Parts: sequence; C-alpha cells; structure tokens
Amino acid sequence: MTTTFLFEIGCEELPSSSLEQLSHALVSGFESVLQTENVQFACMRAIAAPRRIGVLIQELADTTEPRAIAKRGPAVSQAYQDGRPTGALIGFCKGLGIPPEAVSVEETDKGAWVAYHSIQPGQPIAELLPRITHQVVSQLPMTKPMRWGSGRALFPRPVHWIVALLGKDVVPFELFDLNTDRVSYGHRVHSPSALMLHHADEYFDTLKQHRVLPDFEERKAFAWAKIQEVARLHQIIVDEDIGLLREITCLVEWPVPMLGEFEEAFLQVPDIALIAAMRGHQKYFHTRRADGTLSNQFITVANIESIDPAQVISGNQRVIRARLSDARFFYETDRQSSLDSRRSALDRIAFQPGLGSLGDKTERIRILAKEMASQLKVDPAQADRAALLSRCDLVSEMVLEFDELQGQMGAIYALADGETSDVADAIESLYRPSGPTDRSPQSLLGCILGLSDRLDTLAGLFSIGQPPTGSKDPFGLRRAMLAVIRINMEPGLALDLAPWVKRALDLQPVEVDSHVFDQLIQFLRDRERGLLLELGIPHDLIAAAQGTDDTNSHLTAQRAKALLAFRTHAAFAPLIASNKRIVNILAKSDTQLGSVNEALMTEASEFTLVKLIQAITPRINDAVSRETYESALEIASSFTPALDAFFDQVLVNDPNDDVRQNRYSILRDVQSALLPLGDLSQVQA
Amino acid sequence: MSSALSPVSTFQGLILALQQYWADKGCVILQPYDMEVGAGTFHPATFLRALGPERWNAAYVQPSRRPTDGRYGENPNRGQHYYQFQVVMKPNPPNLVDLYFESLAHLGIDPKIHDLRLVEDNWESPTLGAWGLGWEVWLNGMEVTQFTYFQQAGGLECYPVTGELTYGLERIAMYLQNVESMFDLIWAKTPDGVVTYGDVFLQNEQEMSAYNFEHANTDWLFKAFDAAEHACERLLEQSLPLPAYEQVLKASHTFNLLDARHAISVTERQRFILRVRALARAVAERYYAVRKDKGFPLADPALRAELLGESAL
Repeated sequence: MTTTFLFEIGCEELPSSSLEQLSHALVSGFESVLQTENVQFACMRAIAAPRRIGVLIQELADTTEPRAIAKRGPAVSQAYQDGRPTGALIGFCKGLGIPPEAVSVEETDKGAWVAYHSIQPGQPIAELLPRITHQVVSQLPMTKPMRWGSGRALFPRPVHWIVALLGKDVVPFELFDLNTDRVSYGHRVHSPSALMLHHADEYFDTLKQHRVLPDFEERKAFAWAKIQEVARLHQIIVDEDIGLLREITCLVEWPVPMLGEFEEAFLQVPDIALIAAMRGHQKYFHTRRADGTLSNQFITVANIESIDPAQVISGNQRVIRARLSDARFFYETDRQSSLDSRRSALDRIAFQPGLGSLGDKTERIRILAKEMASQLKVDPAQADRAALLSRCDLVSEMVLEFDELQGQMGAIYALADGETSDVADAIESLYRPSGPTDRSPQSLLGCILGLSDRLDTLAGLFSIGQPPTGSKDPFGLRRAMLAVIRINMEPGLALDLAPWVKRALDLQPVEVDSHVFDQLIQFLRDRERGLLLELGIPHDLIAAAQGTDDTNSHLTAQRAKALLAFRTHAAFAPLIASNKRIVNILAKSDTQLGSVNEALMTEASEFTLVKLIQAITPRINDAVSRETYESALEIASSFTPALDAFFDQVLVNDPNDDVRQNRYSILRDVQSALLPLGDLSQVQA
Repeated sequence: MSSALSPVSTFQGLILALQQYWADKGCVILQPYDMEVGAGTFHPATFLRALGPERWNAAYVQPSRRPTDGRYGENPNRGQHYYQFQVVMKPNPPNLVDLYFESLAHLGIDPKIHDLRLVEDNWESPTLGAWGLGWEVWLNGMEVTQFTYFQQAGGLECYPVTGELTYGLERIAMYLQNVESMFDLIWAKTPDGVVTYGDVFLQNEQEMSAYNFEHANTDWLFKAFDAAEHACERLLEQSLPLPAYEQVLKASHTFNLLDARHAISVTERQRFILRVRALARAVAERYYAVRKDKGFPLADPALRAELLGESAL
C-alpha cells in the first residue's frame, strides 16, 4: 500500500536569492533519507513559492522495506561451557532481546561463531516521518537564518504553519515551535483565510483554486506564457531573460503580467541605460518592436489580479518615469563634458594603497599599451587614447548609478565625443572576458588594452604583497590572469608574456622584490595549466608544452594540442624514449660542451646523426615558426632510427675524454633541435 | 473624517492616520527625538529599546537628516531632511505583516487593488553595529517601507526580536496625492488655503544644502567629533548610557556633515565609522547592564528570570 505525503512549511515571504536553493535541498534531503531508511516512493514534487517550501511525495510506501539483520556474537568456544551458555553469550542475547536458543552457529575459515539472523519487519512510515522530517529540515542550508518573536527557532523568515499530511491523516510532531496540522493558506490578498486540506492529494489543486501555484517550474512556465500572451496582443517582442524570469517567479505566488509604457522621448537615452533601469531597479521586462528596436512598452509581473488593474499600471508607470528621468538626467549631465575631461577626476580615486590612484594606474596602462601596440604594429596613438579614456566612465553619473554599465557607457560616450570606433570598441571590452562564458575583446586594440590593464593590476598587487592565498582572492587576480592568457590566445596576439610582466613591474610606484617576477610567472603557469586541463589535455603533456623558454600561452596551447594529437602516432613513443635516453646521458655531463668537432668522429652512425641534425633542425624550426607543431613532431621523429643506430654502434662514454665530450655535444644538438617542441622528457610513457 | 485630516489629501493627515492606527494596535505614540539623526532607528526608542528582554511597542515620526542627500531643493524626490514614520514592536507580534498591510488599507491603499510586494532587503547599520533581515515593501513597483526583524544591535543579540517598520512618508504621500515633487505635497488644508511641503521646507532645503556642502566648518566639526567621542567615554565611566548615547548621535551626525563636505578620505572614512561603532557598542552594553540592574522591569516574568539568571520560581 502507498499513500501521498505532504509536507509544507508556511512562512513569510522568503528571500528570492535562496528560495530555489532551499527547495532543492529539501527535495534531495528527503530523497536521501528515504533511501537510507529503505522507503519506496514513486515521485517527489517540490513546493517552492514566496510563502512556502515543501514536498509532495507520491506513492510513498506505508512501511519501510523489511531488512535482513545479521549479528555476529562470540566464538562458539567462548559461548558455551559444557554445552551451557556462558556469560558472553547471555550478554550478546540480552543486547538483542532474544533467548539464547535463537542463535545459530556460523562456520568460517577462522573458526565457528555464534550468529543471529532475523528479518526486521517493515516499520509503519507514519511513525518514521517525524524523525525523517526533522532530520531533513535540520540539514537545510541557510545562508542567513533569523529568529523572530520570543522564539529561538531559525529559518530565513518567520514560520507560521506546518502541514504534514499522510493521505488524509495529520502526522503529528512539532517543528519551529509549531504543531503540524492540515491547515495551509492561499494567496495573501486573494485568499487570506485558513484552508483545510482533507487529503494530501488535493494540495496542488486546492492551492491553485486559492490563487497560488506552489510548483516553481509550473509557475515560471505560467508566467512566461502569460508574458508572451501580453506581448503578442500588443505586437511586441520580449527577449527571453531566464534570470529575470526566475527572480520574478521567486517573488510572486500568482503571476499577473501587465503592460505599461513610458514617454517615447525617453528612447533617446541609450538602450542599455533604459534596460538597466527597467530590469535592475524594477524587475520589468523591456520589449522590442518587430524591427528589433527598443519599444517604450514594458511588462511588469504583479502578484494579484487587481480589481482595478489601471491603478497598478499607472503606479508602475509613475515609478519608471522617475527612474528614467534619472537615467536621462545622468545621460544629459554626462554629455555636457567629454570623456577625456573626466580623466583628472580619476586622480582622486584610490586604486590600492601603495599603488596610487586610478589616474596613476591609467598612466601606467597608457605606457604599456603604447609599447605593446608598437610591437604588434598597431597605431600607438590609438592605444594611448583608448588607455587614457578606459576608466573615465567610472566617474560618469550613469556608471555611478548603474555600475554594471561600466565600459559600455564609456564606449557610447567616446563615440559621441567623436573618438574613433576602434577606441570605443576597445573601451567597451575593457572588462572582457569577465568570466568563463564571456568572450575576449574582438579587436587587436581591445586585446592590447585588456592585457595592459590586467598586467598592471597583477604586477601591482603582487608587488604590494597581495597575491591570492588559498580560497581568498579578493582582487580577482586568478580571473585577471586567466583573462591575460585567454586574450593572448586571440589571433594576432601571441605575445611572449614574461617581458611584459617585467615591464609592468618596472612601472609600479613601489620597490619590487626580485622574487615577485618569478612568483608572477609561476602564477601564469598555474593558470595556464588549469585552462589547458579544462580543454582535456593531460597533465604530462601540459608540463611538456610548458617546458620551453617562452611564456607565450598561445604557443603553449598549440604545443599541448599537437602533443595530444601526435600521441596516437606510432612514431611518438620511440621519439619520447630516445629523448629520455639523451636526457639521462646529458644529465651526467658536468662540463661545458663545445661545438661538434667532425675530426673526433669515428663511427658511421655519428656522421649520419650529425648530418641529420643539420638537415632536420631548420625544418623543425620552420614548422614551429608556422605553428604547425604536429608536423614539427613528425619531422622530429625521423631522428629515431638514426639515434637507435647511434646508441647501438657507439659507446658514448668513450675512454678518450675528447671523444666522449664530442659525443655529448652531438646529443646536445639533438636535444636543442627538439627543444622548441617542449620538454618531451615530461611525457609519461 | 474631515478632509483636512484625510490621509489621502494631506501630509499631516497621513501622519495622524498612522499614529491613530498604531495607537489602536497598542503602540506608545512618542514624539521625535530632539537631536539630528539619520533615521528613525537612531531614536533611543528603537536602538536602545531593541536591547534586552523588555516588552516595547512604540510609534513616532522622526525627522531625519542625511546631509549628502541635499539637492538645494531642486530634486523632486530627494532632500537632506525628510520624515520617517517608525513603528517598533518587541517581541514582534506574529501577525506584523498583516498589521502592516492593514495599516496601508487604513491609509486608503487597498491591497486588493494595489500590487504589494515584499522584496528581500537586509538592513545593516555599520555605525550602530546593528543588522536585521526583512524586506523593502513595494507598492506598484515603488519602495514605500523598510521592514526589518532586528537580529543584532550595538553588537548584542536582539532577544526577543524587535520588528521595525519604517514608512517613507513623502513617497507614500506623493503617491496618495498624485504629485511628482515632494515640494508640491499638500501639507495642510486650512481656512486660509493650502499649505504645501514646499511652503514649509523648501527654503530649509536650499539653505541647509548650502550649509552642509559649503559652509559647515570642518575644523570645528573634527574637534566636535573628538569632543563627542571623549564625552561619550567619560559618561560611560559614570554609567550614564542615555547621555552617552546622545554623544554617539552627535558624533554620527558630525561624521555625516564631514562626509558631505568631502573632508574625509576613503580610507579615513572607514576609521570614523569604526570609531562611532565602538561607541555605540559600548553604550549598548552599558544600557543593557543598567536595565539589568533595574531588574528588566518591563520584561515578561519568565524571560526576566531567564536573563537575570534567577530560577523561575
């Protein structure tokens, strides 16, 4: 037999930031405890709405599954004396509440033991539910729990009722200082009086009749469908904004989308500012016309079916009008002065103690960006301009109000000031990539600006002894270094980073300890490894790819990918083995090796190998310079037969010192030829 | 109700209606604290009464000053001086949200018509060392009230919990009277005609903005801050938490004035806040100790016994 179990915690409006997390934890908590307790059920439906979380467990077994119990007692030799039970056996039986005759004897290879086997019968679920529920609730994750009234109970908001219904019966227990009951409540305004639930199965239907959709996903889908309906009716388009839709679903029990509008004149303000005001402040969906342009209509989702919807709409229109007036005021005020006239205001904003103001930082970035542009054949004047203006929007009224618009507003103001579109694009992408899902700057100029900015931040904070430690990374330096690596992988960049790290350190206004450079390069290597691991490249190949003199993350990635591809090639393992042998031999050499002297060569295989080195080295270098690492590896593998012959026919450690040194030199030349491919000795066989 | 006192048509009617409503719900109707404060929370009737086990239900208007918000009377929604209507109930009654909704209905804001929303907003006062959890209340998308369950004040745990409602009076009145500027609000309808909020306060906004931003004597303010801090410490040594708390209020407002004059750098700012917080914390501890010495006279017997460490018998 099975029954439905309903558990609902009724409370005041839960924080939208934690509703979903709480609900998931409640469901998974019940799933795991029921599994541990051996209780079968068919399915579990989550209850997650502003004033309630809970679960409806369908086809829950009336009893737990019977469980086989095996207990081992004392050894038979200890259990009986003269055929009578000893104290040890009597104690064992007492503990289990059984007579001594109930035990059996179990033979094992280590001897005979007394054992007790039984089947624990299924326990009625009604008796278990109070304990199970307590356990689940006590393990709920609560980031900000609170107390209320004179109680000591903790929950994200005050709890008002607890429903625990197994079929048609209340499962009595106490939780949050309340007794469980069959009384729930519907919508705060539409249905304020108590709802008697006669059976757990009625829950969702009853609540729906009382203007609550307790199922989060159902409510979300319902809201979205209604929003679409409003949009269709008014021939406008609503962009799907899952984040906003989820937030709204957390805020209403009965979603009622409504259309409002604002004066067309506001559309002169940049779209991003209007959208930020609508979405960020008011949680409105902005809408577009059929041609894709922003419309002056918005959709707000109310929590009631108002008896006079016009008042709700006009109220919302009033609020957004004030918000948009602010946005327009910020825009117009900002437009009265140019972006570059704001540069001096950055001198009054501290960047970091010891590292000067944002103005000082801007000056450092200008130098780096100009120098980097020269190297990359980009107009240094444009790089300088982009760097000069890069942070000026931080002191604009608009960004002071909507900080998420930094960069984007700067680009808009730059264009309006008559800056080039390249400069504006670079400013727009200053903060990109902002995370793993964000893209890198699209233009070379943007990449130069982004790299200069991050390198300065990294160099500065490491210089004042603030690298990330453990899980603490308050300045987002790991993200900054990842951005450096990702930007450097963009086409046209591929900089060797070490000299730029050095340059950024030179520009810092503080005395820089000499170990900081090494620390930063190590930090770069570590982040690079993390990124390559995510691309599915194994540890040993990453270590090999990183084992060159350059700190060019673009090339490191190319080498790593080539090694991964070439690893399945038949020539790979022999090449790695030959290289290993060379490394082992050279490790024993402690003198400075000169160039190869043909006069000291005696064996044919020596001549063959030396000729091959001369032939292959330029070909490897050529392939490397074209970044075709896989073909470079293939070329390199043609060393293998010559090396095999060399090791077969030649005794490297010749008694004659000069001959021996010369043979070391030949191998050193092979090693040098292979070096651009990475440190192949890191590859695991 | 005469139209002169209707909460919908006059500002004073709104205040009177709220006072009437909360008096009926058992609140002591107090008057504003007669010192410059940044919010109703600073009134001893909230901050100090939130400490300890004693029962306390009160409601009052509190003129509030935030010097940096001054706009010389040119911004329709913002001023360096405005009014809050504050309700505190300790322990918070279980139906406080319902009481609040009912109070809006009492003002003519029918929850069956208007979309009322409780949106998570957790309150924290760094200077008072206080925090609580709650919401901002949205009326058709406009924030009209801050609703907080105090969890800590002056670094001390609030037990029982005080429920605090802070109504933004100008905003609610602008909504009810359907005007776009706070200065156009009708304050009173008199036989001699209409008196507006602007008639009462516009000149004050203009002159006080000039004082706050341009003329406040920063040298003197720095000295005043130090003097208040010193006096507070001396008064605490004398076990006089109430006068000591007034010095905290003076220090806090002095800091706000210095802030408006941009006389405090970003790094110094944090240090000043910490100095005020240290004072607020010390006052809170002293106040609690003094009330305890008096035997928590307003506490329920069981709670009193629990917190005085006596047996309930």
